[in-house]
Amino acid sequence: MTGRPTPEEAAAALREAGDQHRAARSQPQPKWALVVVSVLILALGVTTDLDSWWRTPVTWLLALAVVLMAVAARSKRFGDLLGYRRALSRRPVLGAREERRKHLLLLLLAVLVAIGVQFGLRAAGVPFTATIASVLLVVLMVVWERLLGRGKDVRHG
Amino acid sequence: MSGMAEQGDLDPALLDPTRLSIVSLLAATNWAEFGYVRDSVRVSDSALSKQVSALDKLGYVEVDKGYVGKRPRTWLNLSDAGREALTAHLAALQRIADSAGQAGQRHRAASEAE
Repeated sequence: MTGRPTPEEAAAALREAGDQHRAARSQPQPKWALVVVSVLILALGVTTDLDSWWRTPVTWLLALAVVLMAVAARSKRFGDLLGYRRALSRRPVLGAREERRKHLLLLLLAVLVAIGVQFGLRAAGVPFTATIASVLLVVLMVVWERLLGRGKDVRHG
Repeated sequence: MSGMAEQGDLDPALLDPTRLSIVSLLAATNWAEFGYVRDSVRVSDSALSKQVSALDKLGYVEVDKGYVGKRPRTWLNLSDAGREALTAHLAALQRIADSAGQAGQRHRAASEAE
């Protein structure tokens, strides 16, 4: 494409640009990060049910992992050490306000559903409610991750 | 919209498909690592270096070289100028792509009138 592109060439270029944009948005963090947080959430659920001494250290580890992923991975060098091949974007495609609203809404939904299920199960006399709620939260996190990975088409950015 | 205006919004530097892919990828990232861009755009190291140099000269891409431990690293970022150029270029491409649909509609309407 050297001169003025034909409509077909323009459409093909738009498709390619959109594909690149979506590909970059679909894998914001390495898989190990999601695995670590999932394992820690499950561990927190289990230790809560067992009323274990490990509950406090696990809570701190979970908080540390979340901070590492949310803050430290924004740094080029630290992110590289953690396995991020790019620093997390500070300039979201959706616009900062919409992006924040989407994050908060999904987080709120996930936590509300997990807490609601835990209380519901406890009222019904089901054992290991925190463990079951943590499993549900992990499942919701995976869905959440996929939803967040879907960026808008590049031309709207 | 006239053809002249459509042409005016197109950025000659971004008519190259590889460059368009690079800036589109960088538009969704912040300081992407060189290897990540190379693998995503599916080009060789030297081809990417060449395109990045060209984009750097235009002020569309920022390049930062450094080390992570003992490993050398190069990070790329889309500048504000690059982002503006990409937005205008994609809007122009969209108008060109849409013009085919409008021309088709006009042709159909003319055929039906006959």
